[in-house]
Amino acid sequence: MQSYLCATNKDMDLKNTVAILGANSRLGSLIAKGISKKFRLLLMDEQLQQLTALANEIAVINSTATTEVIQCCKDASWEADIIIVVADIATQAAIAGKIKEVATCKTVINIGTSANCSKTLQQLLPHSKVVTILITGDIDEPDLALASIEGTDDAAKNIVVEMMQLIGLGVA
Amino acid sequence: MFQVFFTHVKEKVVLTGGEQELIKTYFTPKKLRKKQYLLQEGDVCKYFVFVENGLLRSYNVDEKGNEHMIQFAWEGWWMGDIYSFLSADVSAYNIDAIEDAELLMITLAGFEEMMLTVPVMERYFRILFQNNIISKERRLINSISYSAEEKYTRLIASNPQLIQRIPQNLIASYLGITPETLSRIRKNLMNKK
Repeated sequence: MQSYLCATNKDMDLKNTVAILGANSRLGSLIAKGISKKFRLLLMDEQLQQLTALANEIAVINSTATTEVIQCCKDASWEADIIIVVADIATQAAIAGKIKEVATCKTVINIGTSANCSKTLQQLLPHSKVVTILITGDIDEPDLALASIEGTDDAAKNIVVEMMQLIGLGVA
Repeated sequence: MFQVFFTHVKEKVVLTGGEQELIKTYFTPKKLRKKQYLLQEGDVCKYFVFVENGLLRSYNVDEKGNEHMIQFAWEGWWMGDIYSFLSADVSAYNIDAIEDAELLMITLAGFEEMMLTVPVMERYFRILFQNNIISKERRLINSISYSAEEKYTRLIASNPQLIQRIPQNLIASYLGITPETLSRIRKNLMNKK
């Protein structure tokens, strides 16, 4: 388990902390870059070098970003106010098992395309506010992609809408 | 994650295993880094917070930029701006971490619902708030009735770990004296030993 602080300045203000579990994925890194202006980020994935490269890339795009890389999904979720899960369906259950006790009452965002977006995460995390985002279209062309949002908690859905706007994705 | 919390609660009320499991569902576990804010002046205090591990402080800042300590909270203590929490009005306080902290946070909605589903927690909080009133009265009496040296010795006698964990300038601010005065008091006390 390793954790490296990549941007040490301006990290102690009251920005919400977002853990992105699966940050090295195409969608994970797109989200990280898009929301880095507004949120303090904990980038979590297995490949540390790739994570560090992503954090450095974000620092170039946005010099005020506060980004940290972390390899333990439980620690990242414990520290986070909002948790984003970018993982295939098979991995989601394993992640849910690891983060369940630290994700209570938190907003957990399950984001993916039709191939990997499942609605079962709420059942696995019954005490979290799970919002599911299904993306249709090409995420490399945000202008052409659409995000449909499902969830029962209005405040959590509002946060997701704000994130989608930051990324530049239209909301269906 | 809930060890300190349930130890604290069980000192005041009896809980069943089922009630403990239900209580856990109302709390947001949160890690806070040293110097990271939990609340900033002008924001609404959305959470009442139990410190499971670590150390927090609450304070306000005057027009000259001087910090005035209001409260310290370590393992087994609650922290929050209770006025802002209950009224949803903005807070005049800042709360941040002096040490890395593990917290259990509850919203007002969660707090109210927990009282309904686990009524024994109402008794727990009544005892907690009673103790809080007594503690605030004692602090007021200390503040208006005792010399700076007496204030310091009383504080240390009731909270010995303060000296180990809290910087002297913050203790001075909490007592409403200058760091220089506190330094002089400490020197005097050392000489008396």
